[in-house]
Amino acid sequence: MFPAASRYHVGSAAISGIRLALLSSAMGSCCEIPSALGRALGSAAAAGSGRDAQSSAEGSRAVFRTAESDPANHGELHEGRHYNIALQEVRAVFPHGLPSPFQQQIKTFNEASVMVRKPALELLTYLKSSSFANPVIRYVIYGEKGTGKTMTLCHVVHYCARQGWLVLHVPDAHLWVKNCRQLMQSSYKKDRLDQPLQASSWLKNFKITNEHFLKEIKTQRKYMWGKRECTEEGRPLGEVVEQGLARVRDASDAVGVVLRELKQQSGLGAFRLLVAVDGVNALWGRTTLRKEDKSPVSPEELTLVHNLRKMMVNDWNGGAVVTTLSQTGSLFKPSSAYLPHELLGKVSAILISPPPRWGAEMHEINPLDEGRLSAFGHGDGLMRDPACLEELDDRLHFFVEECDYLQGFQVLCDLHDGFSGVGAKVTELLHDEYSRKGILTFGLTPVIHKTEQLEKDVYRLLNTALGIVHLSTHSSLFCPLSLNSSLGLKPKPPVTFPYLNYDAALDYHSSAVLAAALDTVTVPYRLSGSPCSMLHLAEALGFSGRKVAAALAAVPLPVVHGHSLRDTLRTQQQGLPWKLLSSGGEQQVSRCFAQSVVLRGICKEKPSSSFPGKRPHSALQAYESEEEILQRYLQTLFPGAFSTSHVLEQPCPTLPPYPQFFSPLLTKQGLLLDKPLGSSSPAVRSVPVAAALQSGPVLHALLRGLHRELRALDTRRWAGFFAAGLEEEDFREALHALRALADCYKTHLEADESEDETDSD
Amino acid sequence: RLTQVRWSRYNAQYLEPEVNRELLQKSWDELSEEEKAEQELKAVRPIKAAPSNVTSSVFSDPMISKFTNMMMRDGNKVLARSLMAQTLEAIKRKQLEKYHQAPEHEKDKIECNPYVIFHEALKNCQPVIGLCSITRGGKTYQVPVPLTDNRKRFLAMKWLITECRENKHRRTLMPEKLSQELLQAFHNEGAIIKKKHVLHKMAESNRAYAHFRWW
Repeated sequence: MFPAASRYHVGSAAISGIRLALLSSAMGSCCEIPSALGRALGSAAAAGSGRDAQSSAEGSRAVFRTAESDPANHGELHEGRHYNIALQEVRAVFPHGLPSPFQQQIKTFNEASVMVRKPALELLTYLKSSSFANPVIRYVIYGEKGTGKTMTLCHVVHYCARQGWLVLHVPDAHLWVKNCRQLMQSSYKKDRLDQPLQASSWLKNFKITNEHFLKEIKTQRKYMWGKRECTEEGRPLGEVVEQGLARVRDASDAVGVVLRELKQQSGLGAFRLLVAVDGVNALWGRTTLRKEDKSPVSPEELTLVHNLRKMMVNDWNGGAVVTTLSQTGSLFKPSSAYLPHELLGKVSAILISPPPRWGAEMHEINPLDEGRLSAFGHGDGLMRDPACLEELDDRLHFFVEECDYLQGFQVLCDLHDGFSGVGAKVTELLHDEYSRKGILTFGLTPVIHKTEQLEKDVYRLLNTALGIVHLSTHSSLFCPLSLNSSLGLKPKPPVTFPYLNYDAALDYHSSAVLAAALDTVTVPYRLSGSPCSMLHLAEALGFSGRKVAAALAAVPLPVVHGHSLRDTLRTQQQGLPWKLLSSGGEQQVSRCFAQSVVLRGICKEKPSSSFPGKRPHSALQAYESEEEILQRYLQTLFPGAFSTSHVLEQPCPTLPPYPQFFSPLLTKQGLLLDKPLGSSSPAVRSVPVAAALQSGPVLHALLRGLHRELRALDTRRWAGFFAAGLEEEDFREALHALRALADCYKTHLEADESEDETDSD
Repeated sequence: RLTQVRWSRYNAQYLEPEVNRELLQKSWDELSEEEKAEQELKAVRPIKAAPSNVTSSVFSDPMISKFTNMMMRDGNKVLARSLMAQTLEAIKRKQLEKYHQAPEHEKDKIECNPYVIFHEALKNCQPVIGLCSITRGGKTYQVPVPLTDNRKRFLAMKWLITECRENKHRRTLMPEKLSQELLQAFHNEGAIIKKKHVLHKMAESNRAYAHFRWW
């Protein structure tokens, strides 16, 4: 009782000050305490002694404020605090756009203080880190009523205005689709309707915000206003705006011209464009407007809406589109609707995320939901669908009939997700139908450079293993291709190449490297003059059950400018500097059973380079063909192995869209120099590549390692994977098959360690 | 034998409830003699139930409640209360605007507490003397007569409300008009103050009839 009395005592003004602050929710001055004592306090506080109450109240309220008034510097520590915008800036940046209760608050307190919210900070980080060469990203802010969507939009607009962007702020798109007194038929297009009042008021406010830009941006075309007036090409955009303001009849068309010019010119880089639309669901909703014959107007028929819709498409770059969905002010929407699909309907699919379209070269199977292809069983089940099978068959037959001489099939398949199931089924199909033709399968995995959730990694492992087993059973030869160093759960650093600076995180780069290797390795059967076919190659490499081959490649092969094959091979006595591309890591391959090597891009030796009568320097310098040179070289490196070799003069082309990630020491033909050419190194148009398909003991280690990791998994824990359509029995069989496959590559050197392992399946 | 229709169901023993918190927070020694006697009486007498519009809350004010009841029409207390709240908010906003735009040395003089303004305005609107129609010999005279406190308060509130209902533009809302009138009354200007002065002048001019009053 007694301590409570002191609350109303004038003496303890400090404590009451804080309570006053909390009670009045950050309003400017004393709170209202209506009792008689409170009245005394109020009048006393307004006079002299209240100074203490006010200053202490303001001091305690400082925790809610921040002095940082530049939105570019707002960070997490400003979250939840209010920052002030100077009133002149408010008049310049927000002639329209602030919600009306907020404008009332500005009038009352003579200050504009905006709260820094987390979604606004998120948006600002995206804007700061987005690249403006890419197509524009469209952001949609949605939420329930009164949660601060418009204020977030205004925060972003303030940031962009401070950063010097051109801000196209449509304060409320709902105002354009309702309550229009004057609807005029457009003079530009007969079936559209103009709204002169709304357009002219918007132009007026647009002019206030972007005065300085309107003088600099020039029109790129001549525009006719009616029969007599026109705006020439090259005139500042301000003239178009003046025309719209002066002749209200042309205002809507002026808006259209402005939008079109800005869209075209924002990609040129002179300025960045922010399109901020509040209540964007109005553009795709219904209107309450009617034409003179009482028929309802749909939004497309309004010029303003039509032009604004064009800005919403992401076919331009050099800016951003930030929009808000709003139910208040919307037409024919229930008051409980706030989600994008409720307010936007079908448009949300286009506006928010592109629907997942999956179309490969041959197949156009129905688009799938995201995440439905995460397990082997999913892919398997997909291919059992009769519609899919039929379509696959049709396409296959179509292409097969077109061929003069079908050597076989090359199947390129992702192993890390459910697609491995699809690939397995497809290969099985091909094997059943075209058993006499060769089937070469390449299993691809993207570079994994950090561990994700354990579930995803385990799924990846399972998919990879099952894919390897099934694909190698049904195809003539299977080759895993990846820039990973290991196929297991823990990722290791990816393979590096000298003279190549590629970013392992980008699929664009890693797939380019693999594509160069693939292109080279498949040369033996693809050349029209070569005697061997795909089946020969497969049989050469894969005898006695060794269905898996490893790929090695040197991209680019370091050939010094001016050297011939002999010279190059002489410098590489230890072995060609190629790297294992089959997830084996940085192991040095010293032995193999069989291999097929292809070298391309090395220029033929000129006969005049060696004088007649001069003694040959080495055994390599006898007059032999290039292929024999290579064959001899390989014999010295890999004695006892069966090697086939091919040498091509034509290098591997690397014109765009191939990424330019080569070291500056390479010339245009990809030949090596001692020092870089200079600051402007030319784009590399082609590189020499050395690649090989080998079947050797390195695969034993690889497959064995995979088998070990799989055995260590507890299948009960990953029941979700098996629920997708895989039986436990099948899994066990696959494990056995993997073990058998690994043992095919066993040499007597590894026999000791394998005896220690007990098979406890 | 006549029975009164409107009478309290409580008998004479019942005492009114004590709503005033400050009284309860005083210690026994701080109480004056009458208050002590009252407290002792409360120990033996029954207490009436408190009406539902009376609370011990810091926000309850009997004058505001009375004013809200007078503004109420057709029993729509919800509407009357919301109008009252909006009026007080409007007063606060106007005063805050003035406060934030005033220079430093004048900030002290601006009163921002809407309750203070309301009470002060009502006090300024209360007439000191009233007129009563007394018929003598067939003629009705307007006789100046003292007013009780209740009557003064009632008249002030009544004038305020009628003024705000009648003399405003069709489109201005009640809170807006009321806040204007209250602020004017607070500064001793405006239509209601004028009405009060007119009444005083009438009373002054009819001084001669004062002896007609017999009470």
